[in-house]
Amino acid sequence: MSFDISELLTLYDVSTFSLPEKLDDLTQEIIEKATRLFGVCRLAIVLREGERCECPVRWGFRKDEDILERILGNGKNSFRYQMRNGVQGLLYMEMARKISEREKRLCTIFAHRIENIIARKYMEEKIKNSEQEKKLILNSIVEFLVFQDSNHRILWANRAVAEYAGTKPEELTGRFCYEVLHHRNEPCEKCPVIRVLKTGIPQEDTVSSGGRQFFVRGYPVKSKDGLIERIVVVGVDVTENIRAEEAFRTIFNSAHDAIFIHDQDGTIIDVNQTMLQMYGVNSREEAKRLSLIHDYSSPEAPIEQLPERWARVIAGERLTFEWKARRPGDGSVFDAEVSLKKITLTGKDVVLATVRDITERKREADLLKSLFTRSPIGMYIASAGKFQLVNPRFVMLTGYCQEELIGKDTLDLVVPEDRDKVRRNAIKMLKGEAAKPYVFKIVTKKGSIKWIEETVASIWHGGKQVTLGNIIDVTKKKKFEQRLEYISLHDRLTGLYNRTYFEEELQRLSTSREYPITVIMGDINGLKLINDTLGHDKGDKLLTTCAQVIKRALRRSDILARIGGDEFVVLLPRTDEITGKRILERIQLSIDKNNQEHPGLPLSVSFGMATADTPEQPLKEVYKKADDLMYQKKHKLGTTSHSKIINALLTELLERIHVTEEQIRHKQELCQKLGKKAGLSVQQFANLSLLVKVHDLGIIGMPDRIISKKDPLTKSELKLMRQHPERGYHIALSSPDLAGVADLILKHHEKWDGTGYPLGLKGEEIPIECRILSIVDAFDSITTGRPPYCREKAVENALEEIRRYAGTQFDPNLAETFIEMITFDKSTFSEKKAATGHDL
Amino acid sequence: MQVGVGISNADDPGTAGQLASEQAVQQSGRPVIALVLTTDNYDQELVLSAVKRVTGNSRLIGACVPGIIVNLRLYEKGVGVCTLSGEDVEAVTHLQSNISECSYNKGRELGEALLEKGGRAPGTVLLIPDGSAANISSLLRGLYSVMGPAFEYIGGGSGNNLQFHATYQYTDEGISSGAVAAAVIKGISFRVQLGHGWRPLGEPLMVTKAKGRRVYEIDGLPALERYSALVGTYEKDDFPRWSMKHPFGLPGAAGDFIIRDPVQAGEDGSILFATEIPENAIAVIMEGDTANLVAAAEEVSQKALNTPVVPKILVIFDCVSRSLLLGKDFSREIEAVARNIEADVPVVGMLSFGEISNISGTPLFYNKTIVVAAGW
Repeated sequence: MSFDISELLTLYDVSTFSLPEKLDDLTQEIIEKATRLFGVCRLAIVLREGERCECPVRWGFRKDEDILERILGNGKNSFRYQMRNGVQGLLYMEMARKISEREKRLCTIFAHRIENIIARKYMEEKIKNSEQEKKLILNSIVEFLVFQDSNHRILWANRAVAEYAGTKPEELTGRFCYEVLHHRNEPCEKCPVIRVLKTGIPQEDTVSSGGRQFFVRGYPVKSKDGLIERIVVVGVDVTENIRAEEAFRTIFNSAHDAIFIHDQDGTIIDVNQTMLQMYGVNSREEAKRLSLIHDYSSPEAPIEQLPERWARVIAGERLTFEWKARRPGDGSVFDAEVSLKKITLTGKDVVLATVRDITERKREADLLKSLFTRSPIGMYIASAGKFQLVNPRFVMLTGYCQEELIGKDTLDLVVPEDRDKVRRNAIKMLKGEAAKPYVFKIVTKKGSIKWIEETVASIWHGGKQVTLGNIIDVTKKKKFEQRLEYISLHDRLTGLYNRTYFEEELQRLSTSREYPITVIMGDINGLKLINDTLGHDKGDKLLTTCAQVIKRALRRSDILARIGGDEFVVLLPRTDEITGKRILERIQLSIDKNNQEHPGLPLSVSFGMATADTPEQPLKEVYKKADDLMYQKKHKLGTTSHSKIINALLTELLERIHVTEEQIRHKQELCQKLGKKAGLSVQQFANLSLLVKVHDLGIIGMPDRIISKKDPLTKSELKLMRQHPERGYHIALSSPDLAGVADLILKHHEKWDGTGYPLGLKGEEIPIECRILSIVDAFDSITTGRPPYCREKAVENALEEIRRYAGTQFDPNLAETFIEMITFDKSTFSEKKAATGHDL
Repeated sequence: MQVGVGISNADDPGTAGQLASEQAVQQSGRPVIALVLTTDNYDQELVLSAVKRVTGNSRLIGACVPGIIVNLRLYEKGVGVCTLSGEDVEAVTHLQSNISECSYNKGRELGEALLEKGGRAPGTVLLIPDGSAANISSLLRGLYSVMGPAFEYIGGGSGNNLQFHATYQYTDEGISSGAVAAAVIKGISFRVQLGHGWRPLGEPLMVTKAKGRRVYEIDGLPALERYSALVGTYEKDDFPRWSMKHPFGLPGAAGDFIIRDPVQAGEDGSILFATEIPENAIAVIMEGDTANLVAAAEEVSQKALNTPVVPKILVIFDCVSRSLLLGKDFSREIEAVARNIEADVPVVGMLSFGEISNISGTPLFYNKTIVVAAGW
């Protein structure tokens, strides 16, 4: 073995590591020495930390994989050193040449030195980290932590203390605890540190400072010989806790219920102020001495149940029940509701008993029960949607007996279509979202429908939340309302919608999406004429018929309304002009069919139609257009329709008064003959001929009982009957065919001497046609026995009658002429009969 | 591979640069890389422009140095150019500035740049740093940490003959001061040797306080005080010439010493060294004489030239302080190197401020040393 100065110098150099603080600097130093002293071209230090390896020093390697490859290789230029037998790690060095034994020796010393340095560095690091961790932990806790000497001088304090003092932790060191934390010149009066110094054992107390309360505990730190060297003080701000406790105590004592706190064995630990008042006990101490079972409970109450209930509460169940409580002082008993619950108080399981005096409540309950039974309102209590209790009124309203109702689903009584509505309204009312009673229909046991007005409320009953329902029978009111509504929107006569409904519908449709909309206007022709002649009953019948006939031709969606005396309107939603025309044709066909089936009084209606294709065309304008068109048609049709009606009326009249066409022709012939002798003009002949037929036109509309009366008419009947000339006059004026004879009709009951009616004309003031008709009509009546001449008389008698009234009733000249004419005709007739042997 | 060398000591920088490079290119043909060495009497930019006009767009590395060795002759004024060409020859260059700041990181940046330009295939890294920069050892460690042991590292610090004015380093990328000019040359094998001829004298000492190149305390005493006690009194103004005879030797485990040259006495009792000395390093005072230094040079040359084939170029980095110390005997050192060289092998070299070699394993920065690299 050789040894020289360079080896010694190398050893010197190896021993002079500077132990820099930073690992990077150490790494640089290792590399510098390794390269300079040993000519190392690769170097690696692999450190082991448990199962994990890291390579903090690496020199001459391109990547980590190369390190492992080199370490595992077997090069003669390499040197490996297991640090702490491999536990700490490994040092690898590689040189450009083969390593000599001398170099290996030096490398070993070099590696050993590094091993120690690294171990030391890691130890320092751990200590440093450990101290930092401890400080971190102590600084993380929210409690105050002060390490101080026996003079209360702070040696170290955690961050919580510094934050409270409003300074940095390091600035607390050396200052007095009471000065920094409590702004005092001397220790706090109740500071436990003083007692710790006196007693040598841990002490605690609550210290007040700056309006806050601190719970402080002091621990002595003793030297080996037992002398107190330092004190550790731990403090917690308990201000909020104390306030909370005070608040709890206030609430506890001001509770409306009596409160007992029991041990699990039933011993009373505490009671509140209300309990003392409720039970008439003088003090808390006295209350605690008494027994729950023997002193506070009535013997009438089922005491034997209490242990069983107590056991259930201890097992965790919460119980509420009614109880007969006893006042220990005077032994009086009152009704109580007791609630038992196991709770944890300051870490201990106890039983909390709250007792409520329910004497008043019981009394109220009795009262309510009475009200329930006698209420004129139907009442029920339901739970989970089923009847639990019903009052007699409810039984009466529904028709079911109590047994049938209890347990029955409440909605079963409600008509199916109203059930959803009832459920929704009930929920709203129970939630307090609605207060107004709601109305619906029920089916009684007998199957009749009743309208019911209901209110519901959520109440506490029998220890659970239930629904209290109140019902009133509003069937009559509802039906009246429905009728009112119907009347307000319907025409009473025809049952069709009225003008009010029509206008609302027109307004609604104008903003709807139901375009195109067609409007048909209709107006009954001659309604006034019929009203005037046949009376309003006939007119009303015609209106009803018209409504039915038009309605029959419409679709379900079409709207038909009577908007005036003789005016009808049809609203056709979603109907264009072509379809509208088709519907109008259908209406006309329906009218024609009706007229065929009922030929007596023809129905005649004038129509106008207009269509709005888009909402841009105001419906009111379209309605007006249809109205205008209808009037144009009506005007065009005009008098034709009146004539038809009058003819129809006349035909009907003649049938009623039993006048045949034959009779009319006979009378016309007599009138013609007499007129000829009187020298009438052609026009007068024509008028007279027509007058014969229509002079009694005014009788149309007269009741049959008058027309057909065989006995003499009463005064009032006569008065009515005498109105017919004027009525006839008015009817004739409305018809162009009859207008020419209107004046004659008016005057056909005037008498020669002025005693006739209606005008009282006399003499030749009376038109000659009337004077002729008067004579012929009298002759015909007498000879045919027509009222008022009920008895058939012979021609002679008739002529005698005419002769008798000539100059009073009849024109004397015309009467004379007529008598002569009849007499002549009679003789001629007799001669002809004798000659032929036949009647003519 | 073809090698060309040229030298011109024409006064005009352009002329000198042009002539020297023309001579070199004439021998080597179109160069892959040119090594350009100048002395501080020239406008460096003009020299460089002239050389570039001749060498075209070939890579270029060079510096201003105290003396140029061309074909075994030392020129204290002139421009020396060595050009390398050949199909197998590849070269990349990089100029890394401000190497005194964050030297280790600058070394890493340099390494990354060279690898990016030239790849990871092995080659020779030629380094010419500013010799007066601090922490060149740290720079080299940073460089090595990136490039690793696959490369050979040679070079020498540039400077201007102890004037300590600004020095210049350049590559084809430009000129800079306080920088390192670096090149990776591939396709040439070098056998590198170094030696100094210095021997330890006396007991070991410990550098107890140091920062970079300045040593404040030795053995716990003010550095200058302790140094003076060890080596004797001196004239204050003559410290450099006196101290160069008594450098520090930092021991290595193999028995060798890395020399550290004290160059300046500080007013504060500290000593400024040519190269940094690590704190807590053990050192000894070294001594040397002409015979030993020359013998060392010869030995280095002999070992370097022990190549498998006849070398095509010999590169020398000879510490400027050796020439200063040897004075007129420096020619003996050149002759000693030349003794083993065949006549037609081109030689190029420089007087350096610190020498670089990785002969001991990793690239280290030496003082008062001669580095010889024989290439083939």
